[in-house]
Amino acid sequence: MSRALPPLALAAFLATFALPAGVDAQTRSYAASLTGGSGLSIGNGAQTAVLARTPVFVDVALRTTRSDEPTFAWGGALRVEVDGRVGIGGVARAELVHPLGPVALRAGIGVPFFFAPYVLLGVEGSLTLRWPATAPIAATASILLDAFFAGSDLPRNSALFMANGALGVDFLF
Amino acid sequence: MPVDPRVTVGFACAPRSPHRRPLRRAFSAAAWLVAAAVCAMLGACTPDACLRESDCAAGFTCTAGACTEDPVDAGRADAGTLDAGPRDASAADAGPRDAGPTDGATTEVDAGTDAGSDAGA
Repeated sequence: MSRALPPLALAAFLATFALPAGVDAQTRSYAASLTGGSGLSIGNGAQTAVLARTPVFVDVALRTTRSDEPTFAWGGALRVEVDGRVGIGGVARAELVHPLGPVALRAGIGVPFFFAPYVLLGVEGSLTLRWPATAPIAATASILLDAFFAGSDLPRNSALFMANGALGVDFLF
Repeated sequence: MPVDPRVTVGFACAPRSPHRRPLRRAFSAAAWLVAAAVCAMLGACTPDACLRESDCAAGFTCTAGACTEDPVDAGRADAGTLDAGPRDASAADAGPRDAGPTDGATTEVDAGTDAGSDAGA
């Protein structure tokens, strides 16, 4: 049985990595981005809604697109709140890419979450404009709409909504 | 012969891309949204409001948009052992600063403990 393992392992390796690359000519491109943003948060008050400024956050994101499906991108971001607190979380996101000449418009939906020091979970819709600057670098401007409905960071029986803007740079590689 | 300026401009400029119009609309919409967000932030934010537990300091809870003292911690702090317990009556009040070592015969910790225990008892 042990003699059969090396050929089986080789076959599994080829099936996983080598063969798809040979059979399918599709390639995958990646982009990394660094974004900072803030905006407006809305939540439950005693009798009325409470408005507050969203803590400034920084996103370090990675995005990937397949060559045979260039209008669809997916990826994730590490999100850190750095304004009066340190909150660490992330966003898993899928986006539709629509080219508008040199500019690309990306509409996305994602799942933002924070896990330290408090837990927060929600959904996020995003709209991003990407302007190419020099060859691998582009500037981005985003509008992010978030709704958080679960987690230990939320007061009891409340939800939190955010309308944020973000600016950043995008690196293609 | 007078030259029509519109014709001159029309020839001088490059032909417009068909993508320009939706792009301009997108820019305009984004600008309005940003302006609305800035106005909302400047004028409508509630000072000292909390929306999340992380908006409040330690020992406080976000309740109905305001940070309130955590009832569990408050109870302990007001009537717990720290304020009215043995430390106040013995070692802390009658300890090293009040009846501590002035002769240098013993260390401060030992003298405080002894004096505090005596005073507390």
